[in-house]
Amino acid sequence: MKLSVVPGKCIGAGSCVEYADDYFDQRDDDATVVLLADEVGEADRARVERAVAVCPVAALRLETVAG
Amino acid sequence: MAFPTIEHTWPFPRNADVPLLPPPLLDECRAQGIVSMKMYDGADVLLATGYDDVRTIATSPGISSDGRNPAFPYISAASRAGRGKRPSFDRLDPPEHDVHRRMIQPSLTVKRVREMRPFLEALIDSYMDEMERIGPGVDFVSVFAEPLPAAAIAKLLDLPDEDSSFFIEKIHVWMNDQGDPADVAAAAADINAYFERVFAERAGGGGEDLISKIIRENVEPGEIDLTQFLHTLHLMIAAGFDTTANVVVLGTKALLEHPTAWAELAADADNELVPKAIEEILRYTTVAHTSLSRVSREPIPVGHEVIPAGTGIIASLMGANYDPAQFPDPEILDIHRDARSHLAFGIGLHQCVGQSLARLELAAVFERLPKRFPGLRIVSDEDDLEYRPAIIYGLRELRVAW
Repeated sequence: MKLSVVPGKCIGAGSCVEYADDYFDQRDDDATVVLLADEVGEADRARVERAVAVCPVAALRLETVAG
Repeated sequence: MAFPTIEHTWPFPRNADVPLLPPPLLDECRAQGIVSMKMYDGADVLLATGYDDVRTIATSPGISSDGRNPAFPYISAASRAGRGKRPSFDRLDPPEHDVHRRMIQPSLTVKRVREMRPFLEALIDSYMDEMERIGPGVDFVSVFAEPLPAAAIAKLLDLPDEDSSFFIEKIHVWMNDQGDPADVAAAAADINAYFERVFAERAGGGGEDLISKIIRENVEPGEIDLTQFLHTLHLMIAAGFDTTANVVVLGTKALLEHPTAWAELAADADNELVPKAIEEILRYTTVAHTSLSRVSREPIPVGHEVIPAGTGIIASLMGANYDPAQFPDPEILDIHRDARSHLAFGIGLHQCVGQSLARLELAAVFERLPKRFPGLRIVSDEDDLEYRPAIIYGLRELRVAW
């Protein structure tokens, strides 16, 4: 599955980091999200879905890649 | 499109027999959907109490937190006096809001906050030592629950430890929504005067602490002025003390009143129960019990309704956190349930900037306190307990023994 950030929405809350600090980090200057990886395998899917769901501003997307 | 009108004024009264539970009126309102009610000054505002409605409203692109909008619903005359004129960033919209949040959030990231764990654990151990030194009958509020977040914020801002008690006292007056507006304004002025002294001491000093950095990187280049920075600091103090302290106090009370929760936490050697327990405690206590105050800048679609532009709205976090459609049997404290979707920290772009620090403080408390005092019990008479009439719910005093 493919992980992406919707531009301009992140407020730096860091909830995503709580669930998946192997996929998400926060920038030092403004605390906004940095993706450490964007390919999400089945083993990590539930955890990353959780991280996406807890974002207070719906700034994250996890989508099935077609084909 | 008309919303049903209820003849009540916000905030609603609690049932004194169950002081930790929400006002019974919230459930009645939720059954009717979004309703129209009054604020203290007679203004008509809408009230949302369903989880989905609260979330939709608070995350809508058309919603505003602008405290200068005449339709903005202040909870009381005192709260308008303390905050109305030059709002801090919780009462600002983007882009102005974003400038302030971006200055503060980096010091409160998950990573940075986790660095404070050893400090917080040592503090908690020292407060528990003090409780034992004073002995059974000690006031848990003044010896444990209040000093902890006070010291944490002071450390975050590199303020002297001895100034924490000054803040505790001032915040009590500032946040008291039944207080004399003149007293509230005076407390705000005292906090401002304190910070003006700190600014004068740190400006041009080259320090790496948060205040010095913001003066150097944001104030001196002209991005914000000192008065705006003052209001931001003011907010950080207010939002960081009372809130966490009261979740600790009310959370401890709620756990102790539950037949097994305290014992389970006391026996939880690997701290596996704590993460879920914290979220349930946050949900159950919802100390920001009169929040959220908002105003619509544009029409806001909510379910089948549309809220007109220019409408004052209370999107009730407590209503949302006790919505049975989202949290079955919400009046039961269940430390094993998945309560992570609660809205105790709010939702949307104003969601609590300090939530990582709050969660860490709560984790450290509930990992340690039950194990140190497995036999903790409340010795205050329930009839003597004073629940504080404030924007943040809490208790003035809670005597405990073990």
